Amino acid sequence: MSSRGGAVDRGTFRCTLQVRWADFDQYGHVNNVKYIEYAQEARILFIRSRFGPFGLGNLPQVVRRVEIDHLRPVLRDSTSVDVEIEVEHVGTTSYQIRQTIFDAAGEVCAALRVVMVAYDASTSTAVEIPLGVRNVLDAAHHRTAITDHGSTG
Amino acid sequence: MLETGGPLGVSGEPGRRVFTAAIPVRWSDQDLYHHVNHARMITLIEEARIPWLFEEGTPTLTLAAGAVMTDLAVRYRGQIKYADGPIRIRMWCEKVGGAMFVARHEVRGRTTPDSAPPAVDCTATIAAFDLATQRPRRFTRAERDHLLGYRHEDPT
Repeated sequence: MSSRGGAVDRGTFRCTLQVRWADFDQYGHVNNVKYIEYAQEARILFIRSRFGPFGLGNLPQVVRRVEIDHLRPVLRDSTSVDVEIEVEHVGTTSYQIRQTIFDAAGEVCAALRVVMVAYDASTSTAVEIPLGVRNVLDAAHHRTAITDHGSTG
Repeated sequence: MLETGGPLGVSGEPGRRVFTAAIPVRWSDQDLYHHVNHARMITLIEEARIPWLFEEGTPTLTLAAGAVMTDLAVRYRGQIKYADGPIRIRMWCEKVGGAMFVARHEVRGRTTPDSAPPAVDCTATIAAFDLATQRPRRFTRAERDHLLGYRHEDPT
């Protein structure tokens, strides 16, 4: 699993996902819908890798918002893509992440901003993010903030 | 290191040669029953044929420019779960004609040994196809020879 779940400390999470034959459309590039699927798969690996150690790798959560910029196509010469995840904001019931999708050559192909909400399926309502998860997200968020400050200042 | 139930890539002696691909399962391959959906399984099997037949330097790479499925039979004998990935798919040829071949596939979870029955077995008939003329075409000698290398004398 080393190629799929590569985690670097508590900073930016990065993983490698396989690009499938069926992901390409008639333009010879990955269809736009598939980027949402890559982003979802990366979030699953992120959650398992970061929340798993606290027994919260299966924390029920749902997508509240997805914003995506398609910057360049993923072409047939990419048999895999890398996805990076940075935590941008941690709220009471929700958190916001930035996901960046790279092709096999390391070029940025898509950037997403996603809001996730902790969820109780039995009542179909948002719930507070459990403390263990909040700590992990806060740590990742602070690391991101420090890195951003360092790069601009 | 990943624990796997058997060899990957090319294995087996001539007359019993097999290609085994390891294919990651996506969260979105699952359905309401928490297992890989039957239709998604066909996509995973399709994906397994890419490293077998369309890898750079493989004589059958030319088939990537046009090949069509003309028959497909899938037997689902067990479940595949997300946690079973990357699944292992063993492939060989049951028959190789002048313009079509019959491919066999066995799907197992990552750690399921080859001696255990597969969760899914699939038989696919695939024909070479010329996209420009929209007509079937015959295999080249190189394509056919490569496929014959995987033909089993006793294709059970």
